[in-house]
Amino acid sequence: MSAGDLRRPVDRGGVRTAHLARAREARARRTGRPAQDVAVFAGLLRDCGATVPGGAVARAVRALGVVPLDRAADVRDALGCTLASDRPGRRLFDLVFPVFWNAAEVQPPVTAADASPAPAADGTTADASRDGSGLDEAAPRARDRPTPRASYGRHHGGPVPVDEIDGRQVDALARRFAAALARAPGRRRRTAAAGDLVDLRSSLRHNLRTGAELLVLLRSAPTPRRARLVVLCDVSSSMAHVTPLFLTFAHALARHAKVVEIGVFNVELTLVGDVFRGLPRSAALRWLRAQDSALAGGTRIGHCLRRFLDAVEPRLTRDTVALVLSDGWDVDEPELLVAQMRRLRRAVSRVVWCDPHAAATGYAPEVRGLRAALPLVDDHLDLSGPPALRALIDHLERTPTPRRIPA
Amino acid sequence: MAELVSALAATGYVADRPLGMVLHLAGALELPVLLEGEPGVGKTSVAEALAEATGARLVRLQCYEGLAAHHALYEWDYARQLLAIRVAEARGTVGEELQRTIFSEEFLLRRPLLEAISPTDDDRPVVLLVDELDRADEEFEALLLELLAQFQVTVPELGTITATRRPRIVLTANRTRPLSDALRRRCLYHWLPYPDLQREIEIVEARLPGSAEDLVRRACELVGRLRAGEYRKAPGISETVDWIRALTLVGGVLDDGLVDETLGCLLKDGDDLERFRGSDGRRVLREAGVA
Repeated sequence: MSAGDLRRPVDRGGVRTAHLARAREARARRTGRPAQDVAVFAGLLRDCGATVPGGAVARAVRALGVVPLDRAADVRDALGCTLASDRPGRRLFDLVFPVFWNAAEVQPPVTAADASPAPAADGTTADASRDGSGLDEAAPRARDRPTPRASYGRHHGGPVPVDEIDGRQVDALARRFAAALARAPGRRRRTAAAGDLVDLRSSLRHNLRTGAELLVLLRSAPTPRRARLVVLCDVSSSMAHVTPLFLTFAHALARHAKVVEIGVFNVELTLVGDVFRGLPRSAALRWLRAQDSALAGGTRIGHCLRRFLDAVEPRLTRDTVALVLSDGWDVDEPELLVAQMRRLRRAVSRVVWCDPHAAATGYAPEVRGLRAALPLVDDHLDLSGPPALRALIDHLERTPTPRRIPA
Repeated sequence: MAELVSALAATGYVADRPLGMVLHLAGALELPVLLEGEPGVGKTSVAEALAEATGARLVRLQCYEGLAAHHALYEWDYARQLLAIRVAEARGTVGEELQRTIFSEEFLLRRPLLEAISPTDDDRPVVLLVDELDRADEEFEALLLELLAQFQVTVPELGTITATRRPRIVLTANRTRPLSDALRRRCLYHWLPYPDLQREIEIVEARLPGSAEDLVRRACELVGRLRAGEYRKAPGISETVDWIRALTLVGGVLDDGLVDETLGCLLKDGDDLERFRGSDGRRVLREAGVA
């Protein structure tokens, strides 16, 4: 058994069930002609969110010509390596392949979501019970704030909705955010009327017109340093009410800032930087919804942060700013989160933690994860809506990122 | 395909059927193979074994950040070109003929990609290994596209050089950054997982013939449990082989003391060692029946 098998995601948000339902529908469209059936199957994979490369169908049909069609495993392997072009695509392929190509009815698997305890009578469930731990944190949280909306996926088999919000407004704020991060002075300098130093080279060149007599002294100022950014966005159930804002903001940052990587996480991490950069918002969010474990569920910040750092640490530099969007609910041990936060802090110049509850009246972090992480955070700021986002950018404009050499 | 798997096994590489199928299709359809997987699962060894099994010459290009066309494809031999110009000047024969001569294949330094499609002095077929492609920059991926799709490269001064015999191309990546869709769609894709217990035992027995059967089985079980844990750098196959070799050297038994003493063969990260020596290691040893 491989490590990957053990960590295979369960049916969070009912996405897996939806894929299987699509596969059964697609199976009804089979014609019995291999080439056409392969095309239908490729369409099914695309509907489920997989990237099936152009020309893959023709390639798959060619592949079927060189494998024995009476050996199901060989047909599966041949179609798998031609139609799937990455690991999530291959997982999806493995999920829907038996349903589409087999005559027998395949029952949806019993999942952890099915086995989870029934919701409370009012239709809500505290995070702690959803996550299976953290009972000590549930009481003060429930007292201070409205109980977070229950994950639809946990109880009704559908995904947490990613609503449309004003994208243009968030786009403009993302541009301001990128500019605010770039306000920190860099090492390079350029001529500026109100610069702090005399630019001797430019002055000499400028005064050549007057016989190299230094009549005008030009000045120079540091060019703003282009900050690199990594974004970690919590999309677990407890964050459902701000997930649309966070994802829209993360997507806008991917377009307007120098983003190294973006990770969205709940109990597992999904790297989305490339997708967010390459796809328009609606398509990117559709892609995200199609991932098995990308939305809703519990939260393992320490575990996901470790995965994230394993993936991006070599690309982090002293110019990198880490933006964490999370309320700090974590079912992992706080020691793991602290260790990973130390790792993150060593690697970047600034850690900005945006918490949707930070501005609540009388708020003090009581969540284990956040309590553990806060000493290692440079800025703990509210991000509960567009006004809070504007305030956050104001704060960043006032306090440029200090130059820090990671240990 | 069975013959290919057997030929790979004869070189010491134990391939499972899906991998054999991908390599078979790559040969039959003349398509490159993109292998992804965790570090240490034997991606690079696939190309080495494939070359040995098919009697081909292995041309390897190790990718790294900053890898450019003149490292990977070709470069003009500037020193010899200058020398030729000086000689021509001395002889008074500078002209169009010289211009044509100094940009001929005589002054071309072939780098691995060009060498793979247009070998100069070797008739054997070629297996081209482009290793750890994700370490190279995205610009380099673009450079590869022409080669992967048309098996040709273009040298502006010479024109297009097309493969005389199409090489088998194996690309490996560790997913440290996403590869472009353009590259992926030109390749057959295969995810190389960690081997299951039985296959890992076969691999170890192939690499270390004569090892104690019970030791190999128990050690492989323990490694499998480690991989299922939350370790930063899960042990790969080569770590398993090294560890069993080390255990054999120090007595050929598996007990908690020896596991601790030889742990550096398996776990190569300080945090992981600390984690194992804490409660997690005791659990793993208990489950594996070692402690």
